[in-house]
Amino acid sequence: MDLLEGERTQAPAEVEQSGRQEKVPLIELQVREYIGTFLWLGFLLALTASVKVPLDSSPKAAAVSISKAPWVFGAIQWLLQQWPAWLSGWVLPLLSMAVLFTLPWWGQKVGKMWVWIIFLILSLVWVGLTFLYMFMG
Amino acid sequence: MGKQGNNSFMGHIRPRQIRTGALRLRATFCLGGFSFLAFIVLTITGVLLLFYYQPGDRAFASLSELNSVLPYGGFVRSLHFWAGQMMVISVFMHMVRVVWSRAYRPLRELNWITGVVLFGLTVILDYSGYLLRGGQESGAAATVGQALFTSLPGGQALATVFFGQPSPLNGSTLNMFVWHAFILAGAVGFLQLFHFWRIRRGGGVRPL
Ligand code: HEM
Repeated sequence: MDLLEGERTQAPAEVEQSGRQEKVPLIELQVREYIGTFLWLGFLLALTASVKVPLDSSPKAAAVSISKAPWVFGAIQWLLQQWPAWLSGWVLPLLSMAVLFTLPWWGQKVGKMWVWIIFLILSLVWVGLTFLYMFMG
Repeated sequence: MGKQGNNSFMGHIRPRQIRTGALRLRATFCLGGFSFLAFIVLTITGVLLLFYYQPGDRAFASLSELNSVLPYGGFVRSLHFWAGQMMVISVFMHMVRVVWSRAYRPLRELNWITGVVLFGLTVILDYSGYLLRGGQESGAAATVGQALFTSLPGGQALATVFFGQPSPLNGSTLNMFVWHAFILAGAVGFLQLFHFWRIRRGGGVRPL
């Protein structure tokens, strides 16, 4: 790997710089990965054991009137209840994704501080709507 | 690992030496790694679920049998469900970390874009999994998705490709199953490998 890195000729300054950082053997990373994996799996098992995943209402049972979205699309469902489908279901989500895709470009246009602010506002709005739907929807 | 190994894909994404800065917890908060771990658990439990789950009319019945009769069936289903929710959350948090440490900037733009695609696909995977539960709730969620597609010009055909023909009481169809278990999951698997390869091409994780 060192060899390969040595071969890179056009690395920009910041990479050059980080390339000069002190290096440690891979095992240092692996040890951290094992600990992280262990803790994460422990948390997952605890969640699985303590919170039962319910079955939904059987399609054979009498129809109950439900308009429930999974929580991942809770924000969109909330928007759909306020505004027309083209806006809530297409324009707003796609526009948000477009902002995300072009974030590196915005970084060069308006600077890193504004990128952070734009990203934070966008995220907070979507996360906020998700919570609104989950707990008040 | 010999020279051969160093030039291989694994040798590239797992170099023998790591920069000290990248090891610090606050460089990554392990969030990318946790997302990948969730994907591994999802793949293993997903393959186990494949052995019993039947998409379509039998979806709900097959899941309730799996849940209550099959040894460890409920456990495997729960693991799959919770790992799915945790993956969505950790992928999102990982994205927050990347913006915070400004790692979307040049050399890493392509990986940022790959990441946004991964984020979108992860959310859609979670939604499609919900439809596969085959209960009335999934039928309702499928109806909303279908209506969104059919509101587009020519959207009827798209809706049929993606959703098949779900009933309002059951969102599980063969189409949705193929998208969830094969196409979307396969795309996310492949893009993750590309993502890991690009991390090294971008010079590895660079802490703030
Ligand atoms: C399936 C989902 C994803 C997985 C498994 C994944 C995995 C990883 C891993 C393991 C790293 C190494 C550092 C770390 O752990 O933080 C990383 C870095 C990175 N990820 Fe992701 N990621 C995913 C989604 C995303 C998303 C949604 C974005 C942004 C939109 C993104 C952008 C990046 C970038 C730009 C880097 C380089 C960071 C740096 O150099 O500091 N990834 N990813």
